[in-house]
Amino acid sequence: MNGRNKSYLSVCRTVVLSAVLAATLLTALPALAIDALTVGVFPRRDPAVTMKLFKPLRAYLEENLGIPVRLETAKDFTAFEAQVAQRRYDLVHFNQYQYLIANKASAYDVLAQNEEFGETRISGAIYVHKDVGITDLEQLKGKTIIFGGGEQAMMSYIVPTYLLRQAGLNKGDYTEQFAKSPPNAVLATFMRQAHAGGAGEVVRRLPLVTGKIDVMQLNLIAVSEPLPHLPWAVKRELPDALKDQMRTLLLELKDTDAGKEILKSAKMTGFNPAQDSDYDAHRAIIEAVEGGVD
Amino acid sequence: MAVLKNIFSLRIKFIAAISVILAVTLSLTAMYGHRAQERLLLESLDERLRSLGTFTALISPESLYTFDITTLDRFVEQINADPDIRYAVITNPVGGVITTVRPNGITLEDINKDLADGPRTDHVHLERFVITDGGEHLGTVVICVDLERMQDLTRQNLYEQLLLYLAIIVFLGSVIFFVFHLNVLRPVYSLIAGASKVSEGRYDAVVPVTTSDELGRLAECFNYMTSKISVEQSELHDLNDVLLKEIEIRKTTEMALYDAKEAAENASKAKSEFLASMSHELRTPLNSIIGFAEMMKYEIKGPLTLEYREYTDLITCSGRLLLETVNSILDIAKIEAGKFELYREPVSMGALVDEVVTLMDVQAQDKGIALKNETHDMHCLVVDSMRMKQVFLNIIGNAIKFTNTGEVTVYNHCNELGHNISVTDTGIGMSPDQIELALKPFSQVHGTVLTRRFQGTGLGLSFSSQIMKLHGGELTITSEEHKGTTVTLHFPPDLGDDQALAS
Repeated sequence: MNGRNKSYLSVCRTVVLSAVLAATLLTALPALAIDALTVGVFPRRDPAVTMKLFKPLRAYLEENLGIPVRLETAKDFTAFEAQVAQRRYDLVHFNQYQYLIANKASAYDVLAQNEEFGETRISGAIYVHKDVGITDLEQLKGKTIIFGGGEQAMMSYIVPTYLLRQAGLNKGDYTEQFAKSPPNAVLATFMRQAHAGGAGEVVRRLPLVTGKIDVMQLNLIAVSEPLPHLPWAVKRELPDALKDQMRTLLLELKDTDAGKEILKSAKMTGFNPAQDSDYDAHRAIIEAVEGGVD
Repeated sequence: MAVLKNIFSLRIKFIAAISVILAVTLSLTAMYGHRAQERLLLESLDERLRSLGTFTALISPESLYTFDITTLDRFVEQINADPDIRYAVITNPVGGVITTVRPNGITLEDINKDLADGPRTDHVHLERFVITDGGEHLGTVVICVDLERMQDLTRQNLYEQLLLYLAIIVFLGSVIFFVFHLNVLRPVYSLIAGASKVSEGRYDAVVPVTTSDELGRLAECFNYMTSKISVEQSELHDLNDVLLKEIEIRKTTEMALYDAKEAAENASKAKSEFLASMSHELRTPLNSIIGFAEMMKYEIKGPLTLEYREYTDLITCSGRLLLETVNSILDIAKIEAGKFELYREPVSMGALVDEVVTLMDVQAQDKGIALKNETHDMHCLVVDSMRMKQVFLNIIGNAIKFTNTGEVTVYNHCNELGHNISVTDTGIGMSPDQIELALKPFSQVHGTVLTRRFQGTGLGLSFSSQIMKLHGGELTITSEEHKGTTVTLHFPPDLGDDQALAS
């Protein structure tokens, strides 16, 4: 075989490979056939703060998916849930309760879950100020308890309420008050605006809280079992390839320095794989507290 | 003393005055500025407080409803950012603090204590802004104002202003002093230096004229004065030289005069001695001549012819006249030589005058005139009777001699100045010049004309005047030409001897 023949074969091989690749891409296109991706983030924090925290993640997804990625949030849980109900978002960051509702009512499936402070699970808790003198849940009968967020807040209302129910306190045995957010519930507890506060156990470690108060003055009189962290879910009808690609992109973040920076900006330490059954425990709790996800 | 002089010098006084005026003025200005700044800062702070408090109270209700402490904390942080605010908190309706942020060093306990008891110091005030919503009291924005920082600031500003004003005082004081020194002190010091030179006798001192004001004119006047003094001093010096020369000349002249006087006195003395000697030498042969002529007249050695008898009469007469002349000359010479001596004794002047009048009456009758003695109550005087008789003989004789018609009267009168005896006639009289001449020896007023008409040596009046002077008295003449002459002998009171007269 002379040199000319070798060159000819090489060109033919390149053409064939290119044709195969083109055919592969053309086959894949219908599966990614969306013009843009809308990412919704629940208003766990102030909307402006939320937009700022997730801006790098949006850019990351847009760059790697090759399609425009729009980041949205809502002014409060109600507004957010309304958007979810309308299925406005393709990729959504829920709290656990919202996910379970959206899973059931709006056809969203979990894609991944948060890892915060290196933890993949999170607990709900009941906070009291040391000076209040309350050491167990039973003492909260007739008292005021302030919860973070609203009645849809999984770790700040549902789980703490579940803990109260476990202790024999039913609705009406205590007065419920709601702070705008879980950290505010903890801060209010610290400032003795209520006898106790309900919020995620992790809240006491948030810089937003530790920077303001001496958390050592707070006691946790009840902590739930660790539950899977906040989920990220996608519309069920999205192409699997896109779902896989997004999952991969999210899970890979903690493997690179650039990804870690994106995670850091979002106050996270990583994304972890998750499946719907991981949230059965939440379903059980909601069932116990509110009679189910409806 | 020099230090005290310096302390009270014009320069020190001026510096002190300017310093005090500037210091007081600028201090008052600084104090006023300090107060004004403090007032402005207080007003500004009050405005800021109201603005912050009201606004926070306005925007807080929603956060209070939702216990959005993080947002409330942000509000409070905004207020706390004001450096004049000690702290700000938001409380719930019952006064419990909701917000968690506090400036360093301020504890929740401090705040609760302030809220309960009020601020503990005068410079801390609490301002409250109630948060309401639809009339419902939701809470209160409490702002604690610390005026200390503002007071420190204004105090610091005051110190800086005082420092600045001190610099201004020094600068302005220096400028004013420089101008004052240039326009006032320097001319004054020049004048002082000039005056010092003048006081040391340096009249050529010139003061520079540096200004055209009053001091400049003073300097010009000073220069004019010193130049004038210098010229006059020079002239005085020249005059002094002239005077010294004059004095020298006068001394020389005086010495010459003294020598001349000595010489004249010696000459006069010699003359008098000569005359005395000569008179004595003349009298001896004259007495012989007169004696022998009288012997011949009385024909002791035989009869003479009529013609010879007339000759002897002429010899006797001429001899007596010559003897009289010689005696007069001798007496005057003695007087001038200071060797004439009086023999004083109490003399009845009335008797003496009577005697002389009696003697002279024949002569008066011969001329056909009346000789009247109208003296009365004459005192007894201590005089040389013989010389006084000579005096009366002279003056009565002269009166008769120079009176052709009329009368000669002797009278007396006394007053507190002494005794006066006058002889008055109705003769030819004398002019004032002739009176002066008549009192000089060997002068006879009518000598040139009358010597030949009236016999005499011209020594009588002079001799009489000298005799009166020797008695301490005086001879005076009053006369009017062609009307007559009055000769008055004045005897001083101490010549009176009433006791002697009485005895």
